[in-house]
Amino acid sequence: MRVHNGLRIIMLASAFSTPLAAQVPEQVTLCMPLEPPLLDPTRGPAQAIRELTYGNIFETLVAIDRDGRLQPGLAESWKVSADGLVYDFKLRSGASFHDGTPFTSFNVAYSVERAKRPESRNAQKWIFDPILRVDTPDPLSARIVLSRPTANFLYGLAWGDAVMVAKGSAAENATVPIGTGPYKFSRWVRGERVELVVNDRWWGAKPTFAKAIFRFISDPAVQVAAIKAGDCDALSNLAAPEAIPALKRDPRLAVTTGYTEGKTILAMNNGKAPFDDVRVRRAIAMAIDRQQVIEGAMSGLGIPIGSHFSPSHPAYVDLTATNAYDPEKAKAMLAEAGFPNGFSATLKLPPPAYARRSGEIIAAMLQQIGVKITIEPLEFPQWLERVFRGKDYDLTLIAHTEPLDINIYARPDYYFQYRSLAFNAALNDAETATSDEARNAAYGRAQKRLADDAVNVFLFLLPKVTVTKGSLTGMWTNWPLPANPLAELSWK
Amino acid sequence: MEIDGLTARLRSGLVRLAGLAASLLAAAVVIFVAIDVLPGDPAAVVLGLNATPDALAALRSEHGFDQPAPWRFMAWIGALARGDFGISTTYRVAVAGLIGERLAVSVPLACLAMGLSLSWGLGLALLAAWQPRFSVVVTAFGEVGLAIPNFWLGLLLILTFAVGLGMLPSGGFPGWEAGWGALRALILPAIALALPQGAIIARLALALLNETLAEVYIRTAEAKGLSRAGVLVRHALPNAMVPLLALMGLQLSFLLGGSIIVENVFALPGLGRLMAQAIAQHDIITLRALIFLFAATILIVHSGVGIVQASIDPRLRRASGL
Repeated sequence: MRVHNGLRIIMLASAFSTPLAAQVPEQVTLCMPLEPPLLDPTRGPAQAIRELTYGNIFETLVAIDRDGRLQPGLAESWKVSADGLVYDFKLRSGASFHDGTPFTSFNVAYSVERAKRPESRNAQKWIFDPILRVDTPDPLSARIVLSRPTANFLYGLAWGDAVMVAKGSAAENATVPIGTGPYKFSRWVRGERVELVVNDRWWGAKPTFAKAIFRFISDPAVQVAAIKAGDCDALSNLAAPEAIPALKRDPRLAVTTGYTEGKTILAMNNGKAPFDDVRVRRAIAMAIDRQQVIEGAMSGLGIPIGSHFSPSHPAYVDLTATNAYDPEKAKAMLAEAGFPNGFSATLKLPPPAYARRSGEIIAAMLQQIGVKITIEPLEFPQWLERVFRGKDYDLTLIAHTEPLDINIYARPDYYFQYRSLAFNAALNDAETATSDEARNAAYGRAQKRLADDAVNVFLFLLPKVTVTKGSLTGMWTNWPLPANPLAELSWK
Repeated sequence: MEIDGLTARLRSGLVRLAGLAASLLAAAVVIFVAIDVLPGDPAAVVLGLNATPDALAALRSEHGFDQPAPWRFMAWIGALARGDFGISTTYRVAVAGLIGERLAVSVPLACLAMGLSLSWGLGLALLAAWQPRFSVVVTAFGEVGLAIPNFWLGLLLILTFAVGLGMLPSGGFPGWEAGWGALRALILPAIALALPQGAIIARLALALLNETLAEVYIRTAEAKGLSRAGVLVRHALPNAMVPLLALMGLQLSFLLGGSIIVENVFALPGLGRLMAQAIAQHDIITLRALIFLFAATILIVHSGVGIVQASIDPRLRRASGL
């Protein structure tokens, strides 16, 4: 099926080359693989919600730009107290919601209070946990007081989960989103597209496009056909790296390959024998040739990682040489741990292509050191139930797509079942640090701990493959967080 | 005599209706049990990896997942009887509305595909029955139509008419507000669906027509001076219609629900894709509503075909005791 699939993608990619259908100057059509289940990023974890709404329909107080840097958003500027506990935000005057409600500090207080409620469905409640209270001295000033210094607090406020909403419209945001952004929701043909129109009252510079359409096309072969036929102006993330060479040869198209924050790992059940033995985990890590996996499963795309941390972050330490590929040493290590003849284990794989493809290659590599792998493919709900919640697994392979989520290793009940006081101490140092240097150094220690303990095998960052019509400019090459800000797009 | 016939017909109608209701109830039980035993928690899928226990519990109780199974079954049946399909766990909107939007694509697509397959399937069969030297065309069409997988045919059509010639869109559906644009979006998928269906119709129809043409009364009809074409239309076609109707009934149910692959290739928001999404998202409320709908469609189409067949063929009426 895979070869077959690859063939039909290549067949389409290298087909005829006629002029693209005439573009509509006032309108842009972006095609993305998955449809968001709803359009409120504060009420669901799906990445597709952020891809569509972040910086388009909804805005945050501080925003993350295409290079991963913090920028002013609905807050023009901010000041942090010396003890790192008080954040004073000066809000943008003239910003308003699409229904005309003015944006004020009361919306900041309401958005935080709503996210903190016990029954709130916010997928990243940790962002709001440190907040003690929100003061509203005047409509354009918001003061957020924390209960403890939190190094990543501003960074968290820039996530889609922390967008600003209004009390009168928040309840309906899942289906009729009302935000402050440059584009207003127009209509949703479920299963097919969402249409947005420009918000003439937006505080920023007037965007190029009066209308924007997001279309949802899950099959990579169909995505390729749609951009070749001119029905899409851009594909935000093409899931078929094998089609890239043929698409690059097409003079009408531009292809860029960047990275996301999706840290792809071979997770090991640290709470279950024999993976509770660090020697076994190190042996597994040494048996895997990371570069070979990237070549075989991802057509060479994907940045290698040596710990649970993205190279885009300033605190990143390159640890790819820790437990480096060495099958002979791996065998010796296994023998030392009491498995001279290896052992048998299962590898449970969720549906995404990167997982299934990498899993097959890794199973073959582990065979080389005598670890006999049985692959068990699972649907995503079953993966969540059995692996993630039930911890009923030996090995699994998945990408953790959230930025800066190294803190999951401090959760004792997390599915890796990793417990390390040394790691927890390093992480705590990082999270409560008040200077960037101290924070980055502590993050470095935390990364190193994970690599030394071989908690999981850290493989690569998922790539982002962007295909655009040659005449369109402004799409993000990398995804420091998943977003397609339409106001940055224009025709050349 | 007249009165007797009427009451008999009424009684038979009631028997049919009761049978239909019993089958629907049996289907509902099977569907509920089968989906209920599926592993996986819909709330966990909706809320993702970082969900807090509070949020999970709130979502479960909102959808009634925390109630005992028999209670949930009764609540589901009760709501179904009122035409209420529940609220989708994924989209957070009424399932009835979701299905309604999808029907606006799937029904016209199924009708278009049915019309196309019937016209070229029956057309070819009649041509071959009228001029036997054309029967090789029907055979070839039948072989090709059955052998080509329809996702591949779909891609080939996209390659030719959208990527190559730029005549039709490569996929998607702009909504019926777009008028002609909406119809254009359905042309290629309808062809991709209709080709294999038409091939099946052509082969069966030709076999049935030839069978009838071999009957003695056809020779009588021809001896009376009826032309070959007249014989075909007046005698052979009506006789072939009864089994053909049964086949078309099956095909219609398939086209309504089973076109997942073609809908995927053409990125069409139809019922098949809704079903695929519901499975992937573990949206059990939408899933069981859809499966029940498909089961009900098949049962209703089946009894509908029975009634139409009976009106065409008097023998069927007598056989069923009327």
